[in-house]
Amino acid sequence: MQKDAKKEDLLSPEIQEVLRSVVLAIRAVNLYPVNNPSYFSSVQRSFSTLNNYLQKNDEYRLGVHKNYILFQNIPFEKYQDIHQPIAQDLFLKGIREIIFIFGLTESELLEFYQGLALTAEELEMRGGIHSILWEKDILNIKVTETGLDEVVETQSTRRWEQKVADKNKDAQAEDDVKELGAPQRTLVLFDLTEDPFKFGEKMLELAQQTKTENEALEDRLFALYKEAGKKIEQEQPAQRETLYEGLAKSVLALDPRYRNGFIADKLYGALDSEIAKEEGPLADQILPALNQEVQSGRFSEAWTVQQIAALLKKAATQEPDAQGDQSHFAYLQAQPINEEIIAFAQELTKDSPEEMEELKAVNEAGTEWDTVRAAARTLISLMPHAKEESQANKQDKDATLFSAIITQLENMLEYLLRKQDYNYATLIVHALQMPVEPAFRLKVNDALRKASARLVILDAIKEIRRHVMDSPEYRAIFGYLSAFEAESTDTILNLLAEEKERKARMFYLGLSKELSKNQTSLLGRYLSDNRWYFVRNIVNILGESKNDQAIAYFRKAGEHKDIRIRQEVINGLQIIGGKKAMAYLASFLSDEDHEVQKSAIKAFSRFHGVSADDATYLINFLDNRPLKKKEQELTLVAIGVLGNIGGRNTKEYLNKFTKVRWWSSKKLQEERRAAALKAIEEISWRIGDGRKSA
Amino acid sequence: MVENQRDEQIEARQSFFEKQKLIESARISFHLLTAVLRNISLYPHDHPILLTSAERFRDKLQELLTDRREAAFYLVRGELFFETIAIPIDNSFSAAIDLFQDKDIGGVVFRPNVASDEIVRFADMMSSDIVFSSEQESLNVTTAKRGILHIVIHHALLVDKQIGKVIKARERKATDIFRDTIGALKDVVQAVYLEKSSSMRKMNTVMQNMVDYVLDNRDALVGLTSIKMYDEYTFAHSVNTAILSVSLGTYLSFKKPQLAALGISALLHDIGKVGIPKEIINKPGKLTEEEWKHVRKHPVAGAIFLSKVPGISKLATVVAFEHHQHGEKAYPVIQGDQKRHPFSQIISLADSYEAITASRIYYSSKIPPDEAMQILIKNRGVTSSLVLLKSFINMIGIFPIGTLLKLDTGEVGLVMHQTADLMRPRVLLLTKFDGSEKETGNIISLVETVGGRYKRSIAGTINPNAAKINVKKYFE
Repeated sequence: MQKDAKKEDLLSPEIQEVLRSVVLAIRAVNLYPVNNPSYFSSVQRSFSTLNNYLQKNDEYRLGVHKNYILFQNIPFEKYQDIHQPIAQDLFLKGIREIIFIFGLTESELLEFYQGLALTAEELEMRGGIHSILWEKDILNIKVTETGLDEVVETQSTRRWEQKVADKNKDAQAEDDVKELGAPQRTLVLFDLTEDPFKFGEKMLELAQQTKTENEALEDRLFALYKEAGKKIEQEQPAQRETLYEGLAKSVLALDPRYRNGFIADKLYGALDSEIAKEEGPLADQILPALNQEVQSGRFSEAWTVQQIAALLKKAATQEPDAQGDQSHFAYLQAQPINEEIIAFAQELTKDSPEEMEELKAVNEAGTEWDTVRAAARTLISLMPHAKEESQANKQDKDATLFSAIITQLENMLEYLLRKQDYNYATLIVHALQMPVEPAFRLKVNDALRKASARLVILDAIKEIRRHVMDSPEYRAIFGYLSAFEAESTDTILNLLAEEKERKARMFYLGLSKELSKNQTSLLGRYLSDNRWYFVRNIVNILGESKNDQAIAYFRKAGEHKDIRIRQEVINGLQIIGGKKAMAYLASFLSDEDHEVQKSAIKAFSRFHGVSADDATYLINFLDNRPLKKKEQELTLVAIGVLGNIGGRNTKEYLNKFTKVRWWSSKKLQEERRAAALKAIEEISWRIGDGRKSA
Repeated sequence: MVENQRDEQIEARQSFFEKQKLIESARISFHLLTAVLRNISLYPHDHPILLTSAERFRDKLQELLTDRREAAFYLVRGELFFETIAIPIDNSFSAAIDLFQDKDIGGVVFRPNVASDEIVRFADMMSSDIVFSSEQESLNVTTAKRGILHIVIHHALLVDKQIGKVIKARERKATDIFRDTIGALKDVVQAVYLEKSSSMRKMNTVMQNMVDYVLDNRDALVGLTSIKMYDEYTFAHSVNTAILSVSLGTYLSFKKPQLAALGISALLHDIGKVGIPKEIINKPGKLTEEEWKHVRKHPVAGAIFLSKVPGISKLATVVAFEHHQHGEKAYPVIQGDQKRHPFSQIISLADSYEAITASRIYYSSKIPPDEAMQILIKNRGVTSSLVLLKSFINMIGIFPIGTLLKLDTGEVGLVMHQTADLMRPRVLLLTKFDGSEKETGNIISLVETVGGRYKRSIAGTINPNAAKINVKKYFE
């Protein structure tokens, strides 16, 4: 300050006197009513001093800093107690420079002072002091208001200004100004092309100098750059691109402490604001708003000159912020509280029992088991994306991305199996079983092989025995075993073969029947086993599978020397049903073993889907039967079965057994007759012509 | 399922349930104490109504004392606490609270074996004209003389001073945590850019600090989320989302490992955006549909990246993948009906809230906090389940920290802390609007009453941008 005060002394006493009179007049018009003698006397005095000065000079130029008044960039700090409030008031009203020009009249001066005495709000309403001067045709006072008009000028303006300065100013004073290091108020756009970095520095310095108390530096900087852009648009359209490029470079060269905030908040902020306005108020109803995704994604600070130049061009066309530099006291208006919010606040404190339950469930989130489950689900969903990514990325020849996911799923599967969480383990297995491209198959197959290892299946089987059938746990494990039908069937059949305890065998048998419905060929392979009971179980399972593919394997089992196996085949055939099974069943009518034959005959009546036509096999069988005591049992059984399955033709055929011939054994004939009559009656009753036969 | 899984689930459920139960027990206990204090002025000391009310209070106290050495109630700036847990205040408490405030009593501690006649004597002492000393020893003598051996009272000054000190120390630390977290996140992002592997150890440590801090003092960190650091907005957004998520986690009584996983997941939920081409993310204009497609890939990209990173919670992958699985425009498209993980819902909620409040400052179309809440409420069931939204609003408040309020007294207050009453936060009274009140200003609670009526209430909200008040100064 001491240094400034010395420089201030360089100003002539006349200049100092004019300044003092102007400031006192502004103060008086602002403070006193019109009828106060000081009101007009101060105006008259200021006019007198100004007029004297302007008789010798073209203009009298005053600068306005937020804390003091300047004359040609020299701060005037004498009488600070009077000057400071005036400087602050003018600064707040957006006034940066006042120029009194030769020809000034006293009435012009009075009206100007009266304009300055208006409040900031009144001035704003009337479009600023510039508009008032224009309305009142005041030609000899020029005012530069907030913005960059006063600081960024074109080369031609500066040349003109320099000429004036050369003519009027003391050369020594000029040098003093430079020595002072006082900020240059005039920045030249063409400096941009020569030294954009220096331009940026100057802009920053200027922003620091001119920002108001409540204004952020970035805001001021933004206003300055906007004005610079406007100047380019208005005055240098031909040089537009080059100048904007320089402007962008100057922004990128700013001190990083201010640059990042300026670019991210102000330049991109203006863009985001514009987009938000375009999207309308509804955009905020989508959470989070789409554009927010871009804003929060600007991790990169790698802004290019082109990007910044484009943003600066955009900003230059924007309307200035209407709020200006007003104090916060002017805006402490409160918005009343929405009634709905008050009502909702009361609701918020109450949780229904269902909500309490939901909150308790939320509490389980993030525990170890929950994490693995959730991660497994996500990795499964990620699989197709990783596949795409691996395929799109030519460098990823080994499909490492996809492999990494599979490896993690493998690990999770291991964890889940260890924890016996079969539901989620099955989910992973099913995902791994989805079709994959050959490039990924090896990895997936490897994972599946581990998941279906004998020990894993054995553990699952052991675990499933602990649970009640159809319980959720049982179903979960069964799901896992079903995912590996072949492996599970194989393991169970082996257990079945070796198990001594009947109850366990029954369990395994039941389980294998459920699991191996589609494992006919696998089951078929076990038919060569030398343990008759094991083969019988396999035949039983094949029969229960109700799959006619099993018939091919039955043919092999049907030749087994143990009649219990042949009987089991018959049993299986009657369950499977169909023409193929029937044809094969009929072949057992000529089995060498009486019991097997009997089983085959009886199987006709229980045969799945048997028809009246199938009776032909038994009719043929009976046709060849001699009337002998040892043959009689099968004959009677066959007649009885015909009664169960036969139709009209069978009924007619059975009539032949109703006649008793004298030349044969009467007893045997009587037995056949009785059986035939019973069968006929049954057929008649069944086909609905009982009356006829009676 | 194996037994330990069940135990874990049960424990997690119990944690939340027990806290709610404790709050309810403490609330009922104080309600019964209020009844004793009221009855002492209405009935003689041997009146059955008075004695019954003292016995009921004693019985309820016994419940609280079953697993603790003492049951301590504190009154701090008009708010009621049981130990460190805020207890919702209803109007029936105001007489008792006024009585405590008149006597400058800041805390009452009940010890085991407290008898009902001792409670009656305590109530009698409180209703008398006695003036309590601010010295603890003298207070102990006063109570002992009256045969009150299992009840200890603390002077308000002492309680305020102790708590005030703790709050100040915590606030200083909050800024460090905020900046450390930004630093750690920056390191990870940098590593991703350079396709280098990044150690998550630092990230985990930073997150553990954050969790410890939030568990200790949620409000100080939540207060920092109201500062929008535009020069670091992208990082600050993720850190703010993490703070808000962890805070909601503490409100939901999550345990420390759950909170750390939640915090890490929130911090890294947008990591996939690192992969969006710079020319798109920094484009100085509206994005084309093709460019949006790139932006929409970030959940998948983030999840794929995180799935390969060892040493962090797998839920980070889940959240990165699911955090846009809400609403009609959910992305990426997932086959089948997949229920979003609660962490994804919590983080989507925090992400949305952060985005709205950021836009409040970012855009010229400002959204005041109550409108921000309305937007969240309007979207209920979309971003998260309703029950999580309710918890979030209960935690953050109807008037979140950093909200500028006009009070019915004409004063202007800045919300600094929430209380159990969502309409009555604790505010810093602003007079100079230059940030200096942070050091010298007066924090008052809108719960404070005088003569059974609230001293101050909210008249409306003030937009800090329109009022040109730099809220940041009060939280830095």
